[in-house]
Amino acid sequence: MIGYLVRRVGTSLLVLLGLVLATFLIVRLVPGDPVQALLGARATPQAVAQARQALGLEEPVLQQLWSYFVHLLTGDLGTSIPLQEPVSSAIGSRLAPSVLLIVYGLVVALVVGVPLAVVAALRPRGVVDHLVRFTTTFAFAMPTFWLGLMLALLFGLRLGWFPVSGYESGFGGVLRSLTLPAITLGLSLAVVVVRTLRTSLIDVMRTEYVEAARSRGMSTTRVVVRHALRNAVMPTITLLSVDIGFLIGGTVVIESVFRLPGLGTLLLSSVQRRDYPLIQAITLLAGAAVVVVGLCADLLQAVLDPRVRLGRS
Amino acid sequence: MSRFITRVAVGAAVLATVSACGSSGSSTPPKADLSTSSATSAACAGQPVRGGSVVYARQNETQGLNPLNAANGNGDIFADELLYSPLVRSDPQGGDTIVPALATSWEVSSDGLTYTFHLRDGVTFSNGQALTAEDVKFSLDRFGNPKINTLLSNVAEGYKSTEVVNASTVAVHLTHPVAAFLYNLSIFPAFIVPKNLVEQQGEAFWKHPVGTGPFKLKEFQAGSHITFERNTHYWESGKPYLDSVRFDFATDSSARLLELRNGQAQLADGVLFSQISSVQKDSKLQVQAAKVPLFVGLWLNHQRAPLADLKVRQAMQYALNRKLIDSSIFRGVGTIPNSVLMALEGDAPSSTVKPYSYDLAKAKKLMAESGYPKGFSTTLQYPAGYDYYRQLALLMQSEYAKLGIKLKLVEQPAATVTSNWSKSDYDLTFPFAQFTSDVVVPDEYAQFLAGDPSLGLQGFFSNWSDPSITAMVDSFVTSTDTAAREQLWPKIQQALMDQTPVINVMDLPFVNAHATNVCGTSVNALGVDHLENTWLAR
Amino acid sequence: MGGAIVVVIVVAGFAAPLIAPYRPDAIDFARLLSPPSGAHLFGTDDSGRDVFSRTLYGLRVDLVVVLLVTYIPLPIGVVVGAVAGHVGGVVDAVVSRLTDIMISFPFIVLVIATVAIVGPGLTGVAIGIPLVSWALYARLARSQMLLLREQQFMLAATTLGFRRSRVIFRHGVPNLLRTCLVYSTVDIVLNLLVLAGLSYLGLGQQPPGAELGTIIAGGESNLLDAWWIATLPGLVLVLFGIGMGLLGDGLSDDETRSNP
Repeated sequence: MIGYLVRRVGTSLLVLLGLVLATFLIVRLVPGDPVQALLGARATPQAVAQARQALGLEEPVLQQLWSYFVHLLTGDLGTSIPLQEPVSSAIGSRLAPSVLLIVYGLVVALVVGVPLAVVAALRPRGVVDHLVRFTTTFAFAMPTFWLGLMLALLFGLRLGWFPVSGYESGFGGVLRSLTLPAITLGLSLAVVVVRTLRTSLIDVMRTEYVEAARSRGMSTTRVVVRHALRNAVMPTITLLSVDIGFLIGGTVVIESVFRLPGLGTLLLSSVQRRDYPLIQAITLLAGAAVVVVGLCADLLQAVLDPRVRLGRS
Repeated sequence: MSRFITRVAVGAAVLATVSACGSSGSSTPPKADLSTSSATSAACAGQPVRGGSVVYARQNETQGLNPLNAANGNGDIFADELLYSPLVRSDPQGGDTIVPALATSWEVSSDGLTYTFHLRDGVTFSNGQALTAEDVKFSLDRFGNPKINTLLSNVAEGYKSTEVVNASTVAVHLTHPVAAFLYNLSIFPAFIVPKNLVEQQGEAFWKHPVGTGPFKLKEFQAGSHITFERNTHYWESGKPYLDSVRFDFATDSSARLLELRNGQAQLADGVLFSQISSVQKDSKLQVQAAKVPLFVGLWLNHQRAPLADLKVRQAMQYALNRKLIDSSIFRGVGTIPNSVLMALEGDAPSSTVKPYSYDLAKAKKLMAESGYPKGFSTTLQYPAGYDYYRQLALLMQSEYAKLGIKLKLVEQPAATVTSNWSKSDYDLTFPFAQFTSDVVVPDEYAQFLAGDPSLGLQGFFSNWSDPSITAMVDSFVTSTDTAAREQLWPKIQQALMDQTPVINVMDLPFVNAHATNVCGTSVNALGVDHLENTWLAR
Repeated sequence: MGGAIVVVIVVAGFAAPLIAPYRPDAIDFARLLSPPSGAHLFGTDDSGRDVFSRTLYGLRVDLVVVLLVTYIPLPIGVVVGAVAGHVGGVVDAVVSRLTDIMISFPFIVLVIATVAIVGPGLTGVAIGIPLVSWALYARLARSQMLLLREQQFMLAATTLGFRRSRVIFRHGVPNLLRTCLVYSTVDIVLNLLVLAGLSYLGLGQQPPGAELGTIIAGGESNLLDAWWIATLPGLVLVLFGIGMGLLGDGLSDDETRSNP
């Protein structure tokens, strides 16, 4: 167990180091002078010097990489020149809407996905199964921004149940302002949930102990809930942890459609302002989130299911 | 950032109400009927009442609250306008006059070099602290210091110093006469702030600013909204009527319209011309068009040989079908210009300085006589996010093709367009998505376009210059003789029209919309809302 | 059924110049925002351009880009993954960590970062998408190869003394290619959605050029008065996605039947 843990954490750290290196390259790969791109041709020499300092472009490249790394370790992500504030505080003020949206989206995906997967798996290739499959195919093919627009039109404007866009804090505010974005995000993920869970449910239902449970006269519902679902949950959690990247990516577009002050819209405005330290930091943060969530899911699985760590050793 | 962040505009700010015209389903777009009566809805007939809150969906995001660093244009400026007050201001009801604000009266010395202001009694900042003459001196010295006032130092031109005469009087000294000085003092860089707090807190002050404006800051969620609440110490007694105002940053035009339509917001700015009819269909909403010196300014880079050819430029003027542009793109709310600049105070009427009429034959003749009888290829940059620029670019592409001018269209983020323009990296461009003057008088833009070359503006990056026009502009901006100025400006206006270094495609109003129960929505000559006058009908 | 939908849409896209009734950039200021009719199947936009023609031309741009960004990284990923899976050891460890890093970046975030470097436009998208997706194919190919390696025919080929390259490419790759191709039907839809999404955000195809995402974004401000500009091209996107989805399902069903 300890050995597996160390190995798993070790590889995650390695991947994190790779992410640091990759984001470090972002500013360095900008064709031409990133400072000129940021400030324009008419910037004063002081402003240029200040910006070079802030972007850490003054030292030799290896030195730059080292100080980038050291600063990261101390939690210093640099300073945003256009916003005139530390990157960490700019990100901090935008973190809540994005995280809440992802969590809410996940809830929607499970609430929609699990029941559909169960009814589909009960009778594989039955009418319901085909119906579910067609619906998910349809949902999968829908561009999130287009779905978001349509939801905002229908539930926001025509029915007036939710605000069409904008963000409110507080429990009620979050519930009101994030419901449509979370549905938009959750539906695209629900497709993945339905497909994976359905397959693993069908596999589990074919196993001997489920057959045994059935033969002892347990009702189908009971079999599904008590045995099959429990065994199919783990693969789904793993899958969701893998899809966290997909979720984070989805928030960029959805935040933009619903005008939410999250990290996605911050990333977009940073690209427009050529605010490289912010672009770097958000990219790194998104990557790190994927790595950490993946690690947690694997560790959780290792704790819950000893086969995992034995199987891999 | 460019210091030419243009702000809202000027002119005879006639408030007009666009009334419903109820046409639909026709293939030609409905023409918005711009009546000049300030007709308000029946709900607003009574006396103003206190209370209530409004949400204002705004197209520009507020990023900072320091009026000397209003880097985000109108997003910052309109927030500053709620928090602070100047010594003098443009008439809140519109019109070109300068009226008292924190100063109740003033005298100008006969040489035009000293302005003596008498401060209003009993003014306090939003924290209860009294306004002093020292605060005024401190604020104006910052205004006059180009190291602090980096964004708009041109409006502090000629500022020398401020002297505290006594507790309620200050004297402002100039190095040379500046005809537009009171206008320059009326806008945001000259807002008054408390000396002790700014000195103590430094940059932190702007996170929790204190001013003498009608509202004070309540909450600021970057990227989402900013909320203001009533300043109980405001110097206009009884105002503001509203308890609080929230700016929702809805940079997307469809988001603003949707918020307005579903009642999430009660006011919205930047209503697109193509959306006017949609707003008019909603009986709970009202469109308001404020005539301000906003224009669609097409800039020509004279470093490109064909554009330095006068006949080519004139041909380009005659080939613009402005009537079609107005009716199809601007839904009839535009005004055909008789100046290459935005409509400014003192402009001669169209009968004196004639607009360029649409005359394709004449345009073709001019092209044939020019150095480019077979035409040429060139590039037009236009800002993204404004549908009408894209429509206009497409229309110009097809119109200019008839002259043999092949336009390649390049859509760019607005900031990129502006930045390319300031590097002279363009052929044809619309440098500012919202191209407006900072003051109501022509002094600023006359100097930008045709001022002394030593200002280093290269004809506001058109790289055009004409010494005879520059000489006229120099005497215009330093003259304190009103009558002489009134005579001189139309001559400059005509000379600029003849030379047409740049092209004014259309003068436009500011189009806002609000719910019919929102009353007292006046804007000043610069298009700035005066929300202290706004109230909600029950 | 899925195949039929895909074929119709692909043909319509590539034959846009032949089918489209108007030029995609032909403006007509006498017919602004006219609703769908016989003359304009999908109506016109706010510059009087025919939305149907623009959709066809836009589809062509989308298809070309999406085919490129899907089928260029596929062989690269397959080769890298197959070799790593068969060779194992250090090579495998390096490849695995590298794919881990690429896959850790949320896809769209990495593409946006690429766009931040090279500037908005299709170039940024065309660089950014393959940067990640080769890694997806590499990971898939590697895991397939790990299974194949232990199968009789592969072991036999190795013991017969065939060169490793022959074993990998003659015996291994053909068998894992099918899985990768099935996955590519999903990938192509994802890429199309990313491309349209980025154009919608103003980072992909730059107007006035036609592309489905830009057409939809352009129709957004007139959504209430002219629903057709944003809605109908969106439906075409959905239809293509459904077609590919059904096609992929069909392929994977065949597979399950052939390898029970």
